[in-house]
Amino acid sequence: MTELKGWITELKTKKPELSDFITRLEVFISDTGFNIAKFENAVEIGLQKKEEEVRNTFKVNAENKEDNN
Amino acid sequence: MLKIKKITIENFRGLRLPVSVDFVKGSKATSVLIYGRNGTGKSSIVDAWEWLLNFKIENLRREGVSAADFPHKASGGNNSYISVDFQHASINNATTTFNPKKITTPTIAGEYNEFKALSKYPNYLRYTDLNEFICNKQKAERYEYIVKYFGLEKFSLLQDTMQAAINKQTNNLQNLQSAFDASSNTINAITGLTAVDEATVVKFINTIAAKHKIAAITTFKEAETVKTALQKIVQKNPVTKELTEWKAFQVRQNSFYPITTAKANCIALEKLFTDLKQNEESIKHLILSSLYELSIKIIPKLEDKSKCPVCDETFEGDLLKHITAKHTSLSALTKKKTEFEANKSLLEKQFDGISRKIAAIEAESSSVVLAAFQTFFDDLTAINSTLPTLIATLKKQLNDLTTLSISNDIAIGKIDTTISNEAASKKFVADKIAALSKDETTKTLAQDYTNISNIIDNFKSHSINKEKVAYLKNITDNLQIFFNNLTTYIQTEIQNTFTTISADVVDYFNVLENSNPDIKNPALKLLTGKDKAVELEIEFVTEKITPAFKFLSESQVNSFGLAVFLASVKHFNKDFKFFILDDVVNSFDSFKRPRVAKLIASKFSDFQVLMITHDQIFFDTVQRNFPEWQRYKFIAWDYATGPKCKSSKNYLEEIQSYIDDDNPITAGQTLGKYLEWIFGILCENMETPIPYRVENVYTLSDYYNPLAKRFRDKLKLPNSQHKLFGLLDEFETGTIFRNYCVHWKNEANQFTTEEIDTIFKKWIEIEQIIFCTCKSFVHYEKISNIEYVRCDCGTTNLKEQSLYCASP
Repeated sequence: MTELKGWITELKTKKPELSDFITRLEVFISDTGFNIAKFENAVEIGLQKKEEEVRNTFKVNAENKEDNN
Repeated sequence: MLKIKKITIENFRGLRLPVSVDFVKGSKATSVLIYGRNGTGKSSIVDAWEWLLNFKIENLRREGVSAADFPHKASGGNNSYISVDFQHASINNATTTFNPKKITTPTIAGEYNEFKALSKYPNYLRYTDLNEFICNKQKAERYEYIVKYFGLEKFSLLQDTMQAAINKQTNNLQNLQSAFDASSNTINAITGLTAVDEATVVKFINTIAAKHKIAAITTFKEAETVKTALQKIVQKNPVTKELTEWKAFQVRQNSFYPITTAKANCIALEKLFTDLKQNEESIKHLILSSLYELSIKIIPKLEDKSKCPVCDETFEGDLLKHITAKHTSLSALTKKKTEFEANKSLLEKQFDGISRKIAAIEAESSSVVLAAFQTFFDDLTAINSTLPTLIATLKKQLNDLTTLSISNDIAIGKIDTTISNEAASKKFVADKIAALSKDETTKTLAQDYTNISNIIDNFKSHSINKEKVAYLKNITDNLQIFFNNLTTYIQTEIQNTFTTISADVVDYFNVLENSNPDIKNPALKLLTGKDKAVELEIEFVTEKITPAFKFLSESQVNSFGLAVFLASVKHFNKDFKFFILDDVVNSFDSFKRPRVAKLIASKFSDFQVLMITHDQIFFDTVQRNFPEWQRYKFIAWDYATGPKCKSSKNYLEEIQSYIDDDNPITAGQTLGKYLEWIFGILCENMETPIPYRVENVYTLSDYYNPLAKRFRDKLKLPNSQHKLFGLLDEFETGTIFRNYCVHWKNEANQFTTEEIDTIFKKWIEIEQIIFCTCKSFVHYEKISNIEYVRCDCGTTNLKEQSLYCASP
């Protein structure tokens, strides 16, 4: 019988295209299951970051500032 | 091989003073049998064992019991522990001690991790676990049982929690997609075009800019310059300015309404609350509802229908009727409580929704609008001042609420006032807009400004949500792939594990259910296309039947569940051969209970077992079958000290002890009870006809005489004398057995210690040739016209030629 961590490592090898995603997912996985609250918080931060990125593109001087820098 | 020497538990659940369970007898590691009535603290031992392995107690968690409640209340959380001493080359002890500073993580000591590595699979089974396997007709719940005993609990837990996360994020994704679609549709409606991209939006803005002689733009990020320029033109025209403000408010107003009244829901909730509070004492017993429900199923199948399966007490009267009445009463209360909780939740959501709507419309900044709608906004402020308190009240549990009075709150009245003003206020705004729109130039300017504002806001929202949707879709897609792989792994493991242990499961099932040749080959079948569904399959005559419940009785499914547990422990805890059975035999019909003992004797002789029971007959059976086991009796329990327990002798040891103490009366009476029990088993095994007594009172002779005759009839051979006949003759004539049979219950008759000792010794000699190491007495059977008198495994065969000698 494989332990949970061992199975996750095996899956990374079996699905290399998912490897990076699984590595990021691992911080939410423990013997007590999937930490939904922590995961949701991380997703929320990711969504806020996306919004921030798009909002920056709306700023008139965003490009100019970047050019100056 | 890891062997247990001793388990010591102190200050845990119902155990206060240290309770030591010794697994060594003489110098040999052995098993332990514990007997005690319900409520004497036996099950605290299993709870402590589960806590030792998992740091949690699953069935208590489901009942809402926190880890903080694990230590005995009087201990204050101090010195609460389970400690296990082992016989092993490198593992001497494993201990977990409750940690008051971190209640979910006990302190470990000894060679805990090494011990844990040898205990991968759950090695404890409670009556309730088995009962869930039988009574839960839901496939998913049976699946939980299977994954637990196949050591896949952590995988299943991940599957459960991850499924919840996927569901939530999928819902989140749908909401983002809807917001994205809504902004796309609004842009389409404004431009009149189907494309939604920067070029289309910029082109539309430039069309308006040109109309008002504002410089054209090349990218969307410059759009605000057009809006600002147009705003300046609008500001110069007060009518247009006011018109745009009313139009903007109209959009907010249309989002604010409709609102539904909360008054009726509040009154209904208060009524339910009053009813429930009047039954507060009964509510405390709601937890018993499921037990009563189970009892209603079980009582008709019990031999003693007056003994309550919930409290183990004898009930004078119709127990089933009594339990049914209790259950009906609690069911009505359960229904009312469920309705209360549902209504409470609904009202909480309604208040949340109103609160959000108020926050959106209160963002209004137009002085014209604020002045015209001052009363409306004052009402909203009043509602908002008490709504959070009402929401907090609704979040409380029923037990924590002493009163509930929300229908008369100022907010509820103001909400109704706001609702009743909807039509009038909407008309007011529409009339204002109509009045201000009479001049075509003003109207066009206001419309252009509104369009510019809306298209900018919606394109921003569109662009943000497009990125968010892409981001979240990538996560949910990958999460789903991960989840699918996890599900496939669990299902494959279940199937592989079952394939590995299936031979043993069938074997054990057959020991427990040896009477029906038409039911065979129990198997597990995974339902394809479902994440968490497993069904039992059975071969009935020649046909495979799924679900097996169609043909298996509950008792047979029970045997299946126990067989799965035992086969799993045997296969997967190879270096730690130990398991606990807590009242498991209670799930079996009484005639099947000895088979559990036989199964352990025949298949698990190299295992240490901790057998816990509150069934006196089963305790006697196991005592008899396993004289080498340690035995304890939990005779009482009190809060201050915990269980009162003492070592227990089996019948034979007890009789010998009374003989040694020169106590012939008690020795004789104990021997009488023992012989009565054994003669009963033998009469049944030998299919012995016994005389019917209408008063249902039988003497030992009533059993013994027909039994001895039956043995003689079935074992007689011409010119030969069976060894048993000689022993029976000596038993009957060489002792005062005949006289004893009549008078053993009468204390006035004084038998001597020597007389009782002679009867006892002679009977033990007889037992030695009719009782096998497979823990069964011989029985009579006739197969293809050949008669057998042999034990269950066939090793003890009384028809064997070596047991005969020539007649004198």
